[in-house]
Amino acid sequence: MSSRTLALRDPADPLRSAADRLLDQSLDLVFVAGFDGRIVHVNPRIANFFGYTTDEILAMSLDDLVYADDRVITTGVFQQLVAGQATHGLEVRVRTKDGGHKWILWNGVPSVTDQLIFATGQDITERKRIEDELRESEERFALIANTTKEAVWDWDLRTDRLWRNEAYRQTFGVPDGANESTIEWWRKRIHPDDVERVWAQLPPPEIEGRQSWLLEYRLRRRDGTYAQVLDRGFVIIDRDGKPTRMVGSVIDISQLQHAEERLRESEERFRLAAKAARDAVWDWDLRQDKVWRSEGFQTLFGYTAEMISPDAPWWLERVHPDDRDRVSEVLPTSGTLPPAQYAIEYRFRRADGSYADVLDRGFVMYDSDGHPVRMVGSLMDMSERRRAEELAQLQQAEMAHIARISTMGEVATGLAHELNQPLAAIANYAESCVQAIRATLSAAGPATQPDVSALPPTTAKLLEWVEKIAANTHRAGEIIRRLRTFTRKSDSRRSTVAIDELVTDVVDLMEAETRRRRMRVVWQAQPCAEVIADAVQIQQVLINLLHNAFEAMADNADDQRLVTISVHADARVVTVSVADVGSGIVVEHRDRVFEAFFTSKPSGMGIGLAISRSIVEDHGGRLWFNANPDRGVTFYFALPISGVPHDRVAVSHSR
Amino acid sequence: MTESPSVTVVDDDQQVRESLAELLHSIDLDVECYASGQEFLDNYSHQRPGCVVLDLRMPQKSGLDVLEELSSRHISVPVIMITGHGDIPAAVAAMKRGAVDFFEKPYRGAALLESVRRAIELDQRNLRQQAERSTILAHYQTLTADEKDVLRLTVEGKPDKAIALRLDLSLRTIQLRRASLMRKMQAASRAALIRLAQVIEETPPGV
Repeated sequence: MSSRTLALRDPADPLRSAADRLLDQSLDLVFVAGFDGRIVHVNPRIANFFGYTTDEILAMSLDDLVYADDRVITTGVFQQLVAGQATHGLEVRVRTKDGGHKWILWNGVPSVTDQLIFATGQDITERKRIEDELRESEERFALIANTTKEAVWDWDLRTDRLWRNEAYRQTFGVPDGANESTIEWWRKRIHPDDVERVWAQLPPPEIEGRQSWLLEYRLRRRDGTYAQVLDRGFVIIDRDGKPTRMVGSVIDISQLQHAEERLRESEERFRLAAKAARDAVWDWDLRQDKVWRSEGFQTLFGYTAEMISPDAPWWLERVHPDDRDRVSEVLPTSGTLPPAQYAIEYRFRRADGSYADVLDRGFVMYDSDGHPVRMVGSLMDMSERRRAEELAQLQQAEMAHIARISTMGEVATGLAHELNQPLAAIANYAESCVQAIRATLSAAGPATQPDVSALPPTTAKLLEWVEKIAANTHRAGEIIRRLRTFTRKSDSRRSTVAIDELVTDVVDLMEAETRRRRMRVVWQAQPCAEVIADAVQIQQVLINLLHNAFEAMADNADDQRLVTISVHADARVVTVSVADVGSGIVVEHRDRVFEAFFTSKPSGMGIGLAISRSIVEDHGGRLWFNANPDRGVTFYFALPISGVPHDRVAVSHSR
Repeated sequence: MTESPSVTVVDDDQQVRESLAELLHSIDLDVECYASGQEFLDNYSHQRPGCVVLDLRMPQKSGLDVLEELSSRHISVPVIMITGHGDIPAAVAAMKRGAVDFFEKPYRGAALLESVRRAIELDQRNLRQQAERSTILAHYQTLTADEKDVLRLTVEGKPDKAIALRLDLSLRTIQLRRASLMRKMQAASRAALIRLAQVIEETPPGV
């Protein structure tokens, strides 16, 4: 055998020599082996491939190079070759010098006469590796696709074949003949009413730039019923930019729709609630571009139900043209993502064409992919609120005006007494002068008609001057009197007032302040007496007394801020007492507390008690105080009872 | 009843009090001053003819309170109310309680003085009548029961004969008894006697 091998390499044969050179330069792996398994010839590529030198390989047998796991295959093939049968496309692994393995695709031709096998091979290691990886990845994909509940599909656009996973097949049908794996199969199963719409929205392969889509349609199940499905997919584009595949999943949302029906019930309740609210509530389904609106749109803006169409444009058309751009910015259609929550003011057209100032507050709901799907919000009619606010402001101003006027009247009333005292003294002194001067005139005594001409000129002048002093004093007194009658109209506001109700009203009125100043007012309402009074004025007296009590207790500990109001009636008068446990009134101030502008408070004007006393005395009553034996002061005011005290039997009954 | 009149001023305002005293002094009146209603009630006695000038609005006891207490004590001095805070209801209340006049400060001094003079005259008249009545009553108390019977029937206008018949006495006895009672009552004439008897009748018992 060895001689034959040597003969092959005989340099004397030029043809052989050329064949050898060709083999030497071939990228294919070329070798010649004997039927006994011994390697008799290899090209240089072989040595390179296996990592051995040519001489090393020539010293080896085929068995030494075969990968152990593939020996069974190679042995079988070898025997076929020895039997004279050629072999093609044998993919086997071989062992390399470094202990690793490589894949080779072999073609072998036996020569029975020469007892030799001529073989060529290609290194397919890289291809095998890619194939393995692909298979693994596809196995993984199939495993995932078939275990998920979601129906997954894979549409090969080049072959028009449709692959579906286990869930898809189970839900949407058994194979039905030749078309079962084509897109046509799918098309037939779409609800006839939806198929046109779905087809129109499918991205034709030649349209680029659109790589994903979302479709909702009805798809026939195995049992013939239709499922409402949400079909999401994306397009796979090859290196040349051509769409090659579409892959996606189908979710049966029929169940979700049932849930939505249930939701509708709860939304019904929501609607009722919205109806009860004064605002105009809206709910915009962005996917279907449908807007539900509450009755507020009718009541606030004067539309009838027929005038309102359930879409967004209806609303946007009614937004004031000058506001429209600004409003559009918050909409999801603006291209920018709307804020999750927003509040925007704009003018909204009423049915009569006028505009309402509205505050539109809403929020956006997103799906799991972050797409806005729904917006819910409400319009508050600010113009109505503003009108109410303006009205309230007006009323407040009016009240302030009334308060000013009445305060002016009460200050005037309070001042009248204070001013009239010194005026009276001036008048007295002036008249004293007149009398004294006249007394010098006549020994006949006072009160007779004096003969002024008999006076010395200076004395006559003095008499004239003091008479003018007296006259001007009366003028001042007259001005005060006019001021009082001008501002006081209290008689017209008088009516029968139940004292206990009046006290309760004041205690209620003062509740916020009482709480704020951490005071406690004890008042046991009980049916009592009625008086003819100006209720507002008497309330002012009581409020003033409570204020004073609070002031007096401002520095007290929190548990010692107690005002006790009680009412006592006898046959003639009803007396209200306000007792505090405050700082009290120092002895030297006690005679002056009712003086106008006398105050012990840094912030007080000192007219509260003066006015209060004026009011009480105007009502024919009295206001006074006593120092409490232990602590604080009790103020009393007594008013004459108008009639028979009512329900005095029920004195112990408190409400 | 020759005592000189005296005017009492009750006002809590010292300036008003003092100026009013000066004014009253200027027409030679004696003046007594009190700064509060209580002080006045505690110290006042109606010994001399005069009047009270009383402030309506004072702390503690008001002028109206003072008026009521004077009334309950049967002190009949004329009271002139003055007030820096006058109104119709207050004036009415004061007049109802017996005030003779009502002035709003600042009043005209001459008008007040005039009112004071009238009040003093009223008081002098009242005091005089009171004194007279006391004298008449004192005289009346000296009459015997028989003389009182004759006086009563005489005042009723009965002729002496009718009186004698009624009392079952002689005409002479009746004439003697009347002479005696007229002497005791210091009545110069029958007409004078009838006037005196009317004073006695008008006087409530116990006075």
